[in-house]
Amino acid sequence: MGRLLVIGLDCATPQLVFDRWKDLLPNLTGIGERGARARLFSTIPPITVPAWTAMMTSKDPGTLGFYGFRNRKSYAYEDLYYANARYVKEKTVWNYLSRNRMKSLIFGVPQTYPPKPLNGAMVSSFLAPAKDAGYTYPPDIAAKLDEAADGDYMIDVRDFRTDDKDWLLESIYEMTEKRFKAFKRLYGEEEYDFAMMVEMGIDRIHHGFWRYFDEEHRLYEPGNKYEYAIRDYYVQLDQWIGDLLQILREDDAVMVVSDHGAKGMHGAICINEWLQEKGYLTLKEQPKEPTRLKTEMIDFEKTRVWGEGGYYARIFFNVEGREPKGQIPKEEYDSFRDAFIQELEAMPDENGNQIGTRVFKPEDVYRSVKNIPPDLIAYLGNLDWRSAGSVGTGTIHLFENDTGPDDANHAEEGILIMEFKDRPLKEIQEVQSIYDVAPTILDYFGVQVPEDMIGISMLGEEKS
Amino acid sequence: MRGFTLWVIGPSVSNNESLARAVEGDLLERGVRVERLDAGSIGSFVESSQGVAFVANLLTRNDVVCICSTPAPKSAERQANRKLIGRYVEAYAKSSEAEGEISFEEPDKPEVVCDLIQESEEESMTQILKTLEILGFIPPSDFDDEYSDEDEDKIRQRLQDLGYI
Repeated sequence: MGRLLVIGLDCATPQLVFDRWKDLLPNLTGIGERGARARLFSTIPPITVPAWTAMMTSKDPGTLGFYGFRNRKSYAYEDLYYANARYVKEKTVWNYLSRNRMKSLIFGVPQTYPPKPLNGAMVSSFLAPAKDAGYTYPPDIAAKLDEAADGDYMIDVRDFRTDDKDWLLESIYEMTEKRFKAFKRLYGEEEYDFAMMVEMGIDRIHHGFWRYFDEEHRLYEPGNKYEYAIRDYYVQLDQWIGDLLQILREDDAVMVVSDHGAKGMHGAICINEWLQEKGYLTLKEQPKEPTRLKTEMIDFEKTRVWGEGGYYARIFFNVEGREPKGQIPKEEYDSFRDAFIQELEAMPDENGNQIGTRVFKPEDVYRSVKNIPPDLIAYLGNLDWRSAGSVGTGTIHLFENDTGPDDANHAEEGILIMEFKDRPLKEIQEVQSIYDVAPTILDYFGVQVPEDMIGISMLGEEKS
Repeated sequence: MRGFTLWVIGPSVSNNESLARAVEGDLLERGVRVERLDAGSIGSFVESSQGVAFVANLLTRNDVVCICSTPAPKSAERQANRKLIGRYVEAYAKSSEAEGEISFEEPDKPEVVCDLIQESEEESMTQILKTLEILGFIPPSDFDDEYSDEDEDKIRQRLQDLGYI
């Protein structure tokens, strides 16, 4: 049995990789032709945190106990925490492999900061506040990363919200190239049974440049300077992946995965403006200009619901006996929530057309619901619209994002491409689950798949 | 990390072995170089606790963590093992009379006492690991890793810039 390399491409999306640019991506397409490929159905919500950790544990966000980057610690209004590695209590693939004396290189996987010791090495990801924060295990590999990455390894792009697109594009290329160089250096130095790198560049370029290539996008202009920016980046990325594949041995297996896909964004829905209009939310004072909503601005004695911005909307109820100034009687919670869902799902676009919003109750979509989930999770216009938390915008439908330019939203399906040289695959469905990745990795290494993992191994019986 | 030997002793050899396996699993997960010597492994070649201690000492001085669960029922032999190995931690796993498999002399001063009659194996494992952390044999696992206010501001700003929140 060879080693296993997993290349994670945050936000890599099937309509581009499998369809539109298939012939321009010989390395990715080749792996799929020799092995198999599928669309990979993400978590609810399809966001970096919790999706990568769900993939690596085969546990859903409810079981993991975090529902996004930022989560409620208590029912106080402003008691939030950022879900870093400290909050990951379920065992990851590398925990199991370490227990079975197998060595892992975990590189840039989101939600691994602060890095925890393991049998192998870990380079944590963009949730590290800075490079001087001790973002690697063991600590001394940080110097090697810089050395391999032309003197300055990059955790993420700098100043993503810039209007200087030339600069942003350059920064994304620089980051990806440096990260591939650094990963290759570490991977070449020691024998790792399992190695996984996650590259964030695709996510960053989708959000920054989608409008320039997507003919359907409201802001698309034919013949613009960045028309091929995303395509060219995918082509370059495919070559970097090709270089990496060169160092694999004949019997090594490879998987390429993404945590979610991408789609064009119509615009943003100012969820808190809508809530105000519907009488659910009252502010102490109406801001005169667009302002990010802070809970201290809310008059909670006159508020039943407030929301948060992001690629999806998180909805919080102000419940009597639960929140400090709760307004919704506890016994009315269920009926209130059902009626609210209907109203939110019926919210139209700026022209009064239906947009197909989908709203989820956490207890309906997770096996268990730990810690404090939002009361509702909403895909506005089925993720064609993002949620903007700002108030004082004077409108519900916003066509310039409240946090700066953003052209793309997340889509529910990412990619899975894999080739296992000495293990046959089961019949691969058109859509596989993100929860199937961890059981497949454990099965490959002969580690018994724990019964409480949600997914199943995609590998067939070992060849005798 | 420097080596040491953890010897799990008690009247039920199977309980000792099971607890030793649990501790081994956790240490492996933390990336610790660890070997376990029990009746099924070294016990088939070496009969005396003195022989097992000899091997444990070799591993320990080469900075491998060694977990022994072979029977060491006599107080005097355990004292000799402790003296030979030096970096030695004794975990006494108390089992019920019915589970007792060997005639066993109670230890004088084990580093940690696990009451397998009252507590679960997982609780006993945690107690052993905590003891190893407190005595400085292994690094603490519960590190203080909440973001500082300043770091949290940086993360918030980054996530806002990236559109995540």
